[in-house]
Amino acid sequence: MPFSDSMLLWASPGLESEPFIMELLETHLKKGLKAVLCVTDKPSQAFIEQAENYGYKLSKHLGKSLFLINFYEKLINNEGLESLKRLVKKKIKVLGNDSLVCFNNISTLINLFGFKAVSELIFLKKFVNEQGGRFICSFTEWPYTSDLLIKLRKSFDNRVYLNTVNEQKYYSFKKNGSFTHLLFDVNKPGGVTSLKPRLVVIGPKGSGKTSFIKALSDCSASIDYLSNDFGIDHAEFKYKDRVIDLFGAPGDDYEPVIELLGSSVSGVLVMIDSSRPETFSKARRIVESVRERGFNVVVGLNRVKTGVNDVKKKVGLNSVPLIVSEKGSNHDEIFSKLLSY
Amino acid sequence: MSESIRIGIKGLESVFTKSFPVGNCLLLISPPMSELSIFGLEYIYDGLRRGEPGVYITLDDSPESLRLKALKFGWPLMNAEARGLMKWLDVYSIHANRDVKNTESILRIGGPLALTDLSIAISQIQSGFRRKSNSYRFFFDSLSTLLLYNSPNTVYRFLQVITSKLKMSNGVGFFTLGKGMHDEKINMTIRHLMDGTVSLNEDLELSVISLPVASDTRFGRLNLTRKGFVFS
Repeated sequence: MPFSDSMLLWASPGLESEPFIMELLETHLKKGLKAVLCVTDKPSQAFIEQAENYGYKLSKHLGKSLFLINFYEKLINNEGLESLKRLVKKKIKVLGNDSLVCFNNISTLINLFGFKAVSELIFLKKFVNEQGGRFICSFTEWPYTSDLLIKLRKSFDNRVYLNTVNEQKYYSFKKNGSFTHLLFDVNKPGGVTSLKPRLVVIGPKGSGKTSFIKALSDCSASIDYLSNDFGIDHAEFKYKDRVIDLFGAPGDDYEPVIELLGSSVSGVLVMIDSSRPETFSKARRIVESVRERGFNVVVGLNRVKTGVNDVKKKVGLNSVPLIVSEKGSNHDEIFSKLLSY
Repeated sequence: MSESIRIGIKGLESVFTKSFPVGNCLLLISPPMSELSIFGLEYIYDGLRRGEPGVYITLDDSPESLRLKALKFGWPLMNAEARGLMKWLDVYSIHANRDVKNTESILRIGGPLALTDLSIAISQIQSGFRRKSNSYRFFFDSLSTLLLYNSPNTVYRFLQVITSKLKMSNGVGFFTLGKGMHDEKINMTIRHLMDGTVSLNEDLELSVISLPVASDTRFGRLNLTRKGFVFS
């Protein structure tokens, strides 16, 4: 994640952005640097206790290198933004270069003071950056007006977006001009953890699932049970700077695997052996069943011998991306399709 | 699992019909009075007896004292708490400077300004309930306290997001709003964000302003007995 001069953690309502602030604070403090934390929506001690629950030991830095500004009390007592500005400016002047100023939630200020809060935060950001410090805020995207959102978006050097798709949490940021999307989870204790995308390969028996997985990784493992096609194949491989977990589920008994992996599954690849039309109706049922559960699905057409369009027509899954996967080729296309969800 | 619930208060079936559809947020406008939390507790407890999870979001009282209040009416909530069916969202205790910690069943929120934390906690509870049941009940007491600390626009924005989450996750329940505490524009805007509105007066006379289902009875009176409310 970028750690630049100014950064805005932009979260959808219902997603935890504070653990990111805690993580960045702890990383900063561990380097022996100093930080100021402005808590806007709760007593500052409550924030520190929450951090401890997540496993971030911020309390040991209190008063030494971590300084709290309990703005919540001031807001409850109807104090304005001027008072906040004064306090931050005073503190940052004392702390000097390389210090970090964090706001646990600027939405509280925006809720109370509207556009004025955004302007004052921009002023503070400039001031902190001019003093050689870093400025990091977390923000919840309530249904604000679009001009406020645009102004906020433009005011920070970097933005990290926190979103959920199918119950999976993602953080996204721009890297080399394009967005990088990474899965994460938050645990108590444990804090923020990056997760590997998990893809599951299923399909009718003999459709080429195991071969597909083995072609991708030389360290795949099959856990066979009772028969050759009853077990889970697992492989871990690198795709475009990312490590991906790949699971192959048994042809006739994939449901327990899907249940077991549950919402940690990023996408499902349904393999179809194009040379066996008798398996198409079963494949269609599998696709429908997996889609009904809310998973992203891509169909990989294996062993295509005649015209691709002809096969696609016979398979009859018009609304699902169908990708030819001959002899294990086209992996890139399959994964970029699955990961693009 | 059915896609509707029984409201569970004796006699109130005539107002809310025998099976009330889930995915609905109702506004309960009432003068501030202690009977309101009893209504909420009975509504939640009735669901728990039927195996329906419930969450009580309290801004005006601590879960510990509400739990005791429920017990006085013979509604033990601890068993359901132990089974993960009953959750409390406590937006009161930390703000009231009480030295409290989260428990398995009580999630504490820093105060009425911490709307982000409140929405996160609601999402977490919804996701926990999803594993237990198709629907759940909620009681949010009260929007008036939220309006004491936040601007009306902030509360509308919050409600816009929260009501849609509650509806989409098959929640069904009440938001309370103090009668005579807010101007008409606030009342009307909040009503607009809800699926229905019911009003109570100090004599516990109930009148239906609007409901998402057809109702046979639109007026009546709640009587508080030792075993809870009876509507006649």
